[in-house]
Amino acid sequence: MAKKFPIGAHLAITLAWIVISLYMIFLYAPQELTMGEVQRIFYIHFSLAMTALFAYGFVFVGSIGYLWKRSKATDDFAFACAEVGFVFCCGVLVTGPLWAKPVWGIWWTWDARLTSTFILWLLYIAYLMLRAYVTNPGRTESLSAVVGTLGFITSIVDYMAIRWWRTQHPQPVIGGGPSSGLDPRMWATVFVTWGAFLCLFFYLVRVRIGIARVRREVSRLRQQWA
Amino acid sequence: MVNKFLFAAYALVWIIFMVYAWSLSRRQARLLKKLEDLKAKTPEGKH
Repeated sequence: MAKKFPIGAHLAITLAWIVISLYMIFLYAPQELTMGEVQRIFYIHFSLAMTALFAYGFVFVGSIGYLWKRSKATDDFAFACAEVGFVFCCGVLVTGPLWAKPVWGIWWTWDARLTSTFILWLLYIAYLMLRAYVTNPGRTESLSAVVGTLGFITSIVDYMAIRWWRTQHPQPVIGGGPSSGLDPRMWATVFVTWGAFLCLFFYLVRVRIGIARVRREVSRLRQQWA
Repeated sequence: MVNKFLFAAYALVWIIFMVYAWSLSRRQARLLKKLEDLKAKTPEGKH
C-alpha cells in the first residue's frame, strides 16, 4: 500500500503556495488597462470557480465508485468533495458580484453562466441536505450519488454556458478563440493561484475524510456498547 | 489606495475559508473526544 503524504506537510505546502500566489496576484501580475486594480479579483474568482467545477467531477467519480463497489471510502471521498466544493462555490458567488458591480454596473444578472452557477450551488445544498436528513444506510449514499451525478452534468453546462450562449459574463480566456488570451505574467499568476486553491481543496478534503472515518468509528463503538 | 471591491472580495473569501476550517476543527475535536470516551468505556479500551 502506498504511503500517505503527511497531512502537516500538505498544509505547509498549501500555505506557502497561497503566499506565493498572493505575491503574484498583487505584485507580479501587471495591471489590466481597462478594469484597473479590480481585475485582480479575476485570479481568485477563476481559481475558485474552476475548483468548484472540478469538485463535482470528483463527486461524480466517488459516486460512481460507490455505486459500483459499494465502498465506504469512495462515498467518503464524494461527500468530502461535495462539502468542500460547496465552500468554493460560495466563494465564487461572493467574488463574482464584487467584480461585476464596478465593471458591469450591476451586482447580478440572470444570464446563462450566472444562472447555471447558482443552480450548481443549489445542487450542492441539496446534496448536503440529503446527507443530513436522509439517515437510511445505503439509501443515503445511493440518493447522494444521483444528486452528485446531476451536479456533474450541471457543472459541464456551467462550464460550456459562455461557449453555447451569448452571456453578460466574459468569454473564455482559455480556448476562447483568437481574441481571447492573457499577458504571459497573468497566465503564470492564473495557474499558480489555481494550483494553490487545488492544493487547499485536497487538504480540506483529506481533513473532512478523516472526520468521516472518526464518525464511523464512534458509531461502531456505540453499537457495540448498546 | 486599495480598491474597496478588491479588498472585500479577498477578505470575504478568506473569512469563508476560516469559518469552514474552524467548523472542521470543532467537529474533529468533538468526535475525537467522543471516541476517547467510548474507548474508555468499552472492554477493549480498558486494557
